Amino acid sequence: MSIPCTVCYGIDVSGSRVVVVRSMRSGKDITHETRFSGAPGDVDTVAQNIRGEVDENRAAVAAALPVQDSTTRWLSTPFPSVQKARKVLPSILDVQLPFPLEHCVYGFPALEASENGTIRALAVVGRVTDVEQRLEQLQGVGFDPVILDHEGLALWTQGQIEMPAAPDTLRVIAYAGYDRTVLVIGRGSEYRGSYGSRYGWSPVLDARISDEVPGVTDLLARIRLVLRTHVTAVAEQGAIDWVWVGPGAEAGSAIQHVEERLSLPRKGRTAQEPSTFLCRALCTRALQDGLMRWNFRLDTRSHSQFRAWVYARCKRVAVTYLVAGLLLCALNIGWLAHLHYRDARAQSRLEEQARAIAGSERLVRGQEMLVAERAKTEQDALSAPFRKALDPRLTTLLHEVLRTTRETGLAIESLSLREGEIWIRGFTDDWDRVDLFSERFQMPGWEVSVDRQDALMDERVRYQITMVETL
Amino acid sequence: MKNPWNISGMRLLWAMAIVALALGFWLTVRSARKTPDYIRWIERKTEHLEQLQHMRTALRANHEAVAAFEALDHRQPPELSGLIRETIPGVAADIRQRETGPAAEGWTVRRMEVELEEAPLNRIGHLLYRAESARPPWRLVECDLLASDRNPGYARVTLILEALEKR
Repeated sequence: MSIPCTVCYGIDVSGSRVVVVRSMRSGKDITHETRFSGAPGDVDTVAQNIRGEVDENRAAVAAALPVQDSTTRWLSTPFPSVQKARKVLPSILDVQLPFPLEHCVYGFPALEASENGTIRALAVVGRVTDVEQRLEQLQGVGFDPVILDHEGLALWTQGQIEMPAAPDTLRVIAYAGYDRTVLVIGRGSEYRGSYGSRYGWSPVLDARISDEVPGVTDLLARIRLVLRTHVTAVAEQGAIDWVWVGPGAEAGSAIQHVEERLSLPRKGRTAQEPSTFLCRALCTRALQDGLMRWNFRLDTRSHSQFRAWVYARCKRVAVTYLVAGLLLCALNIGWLAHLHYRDARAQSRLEEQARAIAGSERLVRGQEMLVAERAKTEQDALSAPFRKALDPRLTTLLHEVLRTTRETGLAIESLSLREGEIWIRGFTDDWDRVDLFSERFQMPGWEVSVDRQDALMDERVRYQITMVETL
Repeated sequence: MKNPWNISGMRLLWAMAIVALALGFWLTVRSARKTPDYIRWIERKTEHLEQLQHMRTALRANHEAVAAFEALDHRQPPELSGLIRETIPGVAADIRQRETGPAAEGWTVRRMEVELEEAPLNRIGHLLYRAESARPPWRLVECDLLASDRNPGYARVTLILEALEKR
């Protein structure tokens, strides 16, 4: 987790030198500014100002545990599941350490799937005593870091940001410090390991380096050993992307001497402002989320500012859940109330309408339609004679039938007219006249059927027409 | 920096958050279950409301029909014997009362059966026109004709007429 402040102070404390860099986050950009570079005795004023900012929660301090006081290991597990891998990782780590795991601060800042599908993890370990000693050292200078990072990881990730390595190229980041030398090795963007040496570069920064300077031979031997471990082919040596960082990198003659003695075929590059590189790395990692983030100040050793952030974050999450829960409650209660209101309004209108039809004051809920239909049936029955009285349908129909029979030349013997039914019986001298009559009455809502009998002695065709209303 | 941790306060906050979330989820599930029922009830009631509104419209037509009769000057239909005498003079008419029944607002439905011997068919329409034009009107309910063997254009006519009256 990145720190919530926008300002971070990166501290690099070597034996005789202290470097302080102030970094500020603005959006995705981070700007760095060197605040102090000098002897520990002169840093008091700066440290006091920084403490003031930290107390007001406007800034945080980040430092590193040196590589020689810590270790990183890639561990392979037999499981493809991250959860299962997490359970066995401490045991796997324990057997690889020369001291008990209980005496260490450790963690696994990177877990990834290996080529065979199982999980491998990067373990970071520091002995509790070393962590506490480093914190005491920093506090002695006047700084109480919120984040105590791993030096090797910090150098590696900053190297990827400032000078990204080409894919599959062996990358060495060499930190030349006042009291230590660190080599961080990787391939492309993949971190492999960090190696530290207590050889400091302060003796050579002001004088010409030579093999007679104490410790240089040991340093070169150490570097050669590390390279032999990682460089598999002689040809590959030429492809090493060597990057010099740290205050020692500013001493060009010393760098040149080391490169010559190592017989590096390709000259190494020097980072911009190499003396503040580590501080920039620490600040960048503190201010931005990213890969392989780490803090040795865990659990009981965590900084009060860090605990305050965790508390605030925990509180913020709880408040978010609380608000979300209350919102859910309010939305659902509101929705149910709205539905209930609409249902009640529909029910009240239904009762009102049913009451208006039935004329009854008391209605059983759910019986509204039944009561209204009954009332309507009764009222329809009582009102039907009034509606029919003004409708002269049968007279009109009788008139129409008599007119049509006259026009078509049909003689009527008898006629019976009822509501929805006409029955005519008679005779004619021509078959077609009956058809003509029935054609005239082929209108919607009526079904006309004709029954004709053969002509008898009098040559009359007897017919019977039945008309039934179908609608 | 002082220790900001207030464990009991944080526990209370989380407890409240969990209760609120649980309650929220429970209410969401309840809403999800209840909503289709409510929608179904509301839709059914809306349908019933529409039906009731149609019923009221129909009943309004009934009221208007009754009101038209209530507004008449006379509450008794004209005597059928008089109408027959005026429209088909000289024809013997046998007039009999049939069933009567109740109608709205205290009115009564009365049915009469009229039997005409040897009536000219061309005058039957006139008789019915006069009967239906009267206020309150007589309405034709049934009609039976049996053609006369002796006189073409004449028939034995049986009519059933219905009228509304209020005494």
